[in-house]
Amino acid sequence: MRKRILIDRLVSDLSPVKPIRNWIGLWIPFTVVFVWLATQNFMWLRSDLATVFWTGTFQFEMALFLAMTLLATASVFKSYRPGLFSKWQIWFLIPYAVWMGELIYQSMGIISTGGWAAMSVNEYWNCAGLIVFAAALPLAYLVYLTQDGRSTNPKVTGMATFVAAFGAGNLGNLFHCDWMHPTHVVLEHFIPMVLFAVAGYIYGKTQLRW
Amino acid sequence: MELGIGWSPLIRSQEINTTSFLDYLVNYRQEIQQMATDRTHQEPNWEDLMELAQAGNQKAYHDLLSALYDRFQTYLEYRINDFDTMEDILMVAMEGIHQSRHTYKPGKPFLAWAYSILKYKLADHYRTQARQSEIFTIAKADLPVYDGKDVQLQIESLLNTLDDRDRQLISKVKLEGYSYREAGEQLDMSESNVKVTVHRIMNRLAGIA
Repeated sequence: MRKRILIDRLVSDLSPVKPIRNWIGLWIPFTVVFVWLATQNFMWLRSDLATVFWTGTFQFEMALFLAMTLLATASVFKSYRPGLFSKWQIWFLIPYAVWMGELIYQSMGIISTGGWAAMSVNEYWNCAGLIVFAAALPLAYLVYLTQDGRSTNPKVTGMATFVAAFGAGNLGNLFHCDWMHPTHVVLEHFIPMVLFAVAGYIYGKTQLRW
Repeated sequence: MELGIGWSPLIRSQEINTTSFLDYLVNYRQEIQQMATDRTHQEPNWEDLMELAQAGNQKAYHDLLSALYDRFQTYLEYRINDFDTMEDILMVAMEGIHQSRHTYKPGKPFLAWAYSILKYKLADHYRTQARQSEIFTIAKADLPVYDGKDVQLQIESLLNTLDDRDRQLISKVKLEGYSYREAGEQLDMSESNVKVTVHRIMNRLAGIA
């Protein structure tokens, strides 16, 4: 009885729908262009970019943030449809762990050489704000592109959405901030990124449930 | 042919020789394969039906939902022993399928998509239930079982003990097949409020019955 009533009601409510598309090819170019323009025009490129660009540390960190952003983006566009979730979609958290390991390694080196005294709050205190500035529009665009999605893992999707946008912002900030002291990086780069991921988790839990 | 030591007691106990036992295994495998083939032939072509449904074909959508309802029901029957709960989840899952039909990607396996929605709704139900059980610790009484012609009268007499709003709510959710959300929209209540109120009314009715 209930089956018939339910199915009749759902069938009578049927209207043609267009399957949602995967807009990853739209979001990535937009983000790359926007973050680059924001970095170049509003955050300024670091003065030592030409010399530091080909160093191992810079290349490593660039690859790390790029991997974080791309993995998170792929995760968003995979997990916002039901039935496509798989374990690799939380791999965007791995770069976090690698980054933390790198920061610990750098801190150990500075501690062994007694370099902590060199740390001071300098003009780059607002790196977290700059990351938010560079990531805000890509985040809004990503939320807009995925608004019709129905994730069956909303917390992961929410977290990946925020990590994708703020990872891109952090990548832009890498071309801006030349203050590489681990304390600064932890306070102004790493902890904000962790907080953005937590914010994404809460966003997914509260906004993406359906 | 030598069989492993593990098979020997079985063979002795059933007093069959090795050859007939192997024949039995071969026949058994063929029967299983035949059953699987028959089942495949009975299955609708889910992907095609869903693509037609996305285009607005009501007949295809009806066939799809009917077959899916039965399939989901079988799945849930093995996992939930309370009929009302099972029906509620089934209804919510079917609603979920309906609302998210635009997220199905043509050409992809339909059942993987559909079952992931069912499992999500199932998990969501248990999460909500766990939260509610912290608030309401009233033990759910067993509802009496009615038979035959008395059912209608019994239901009516029970519904008459309720006030207008509660009667409408129970009628919509439990008898007319509306979801919590839809019943809430019609009666100007939030979905969570509808769930809680229905839970309370059912407990009250169980006490009266």
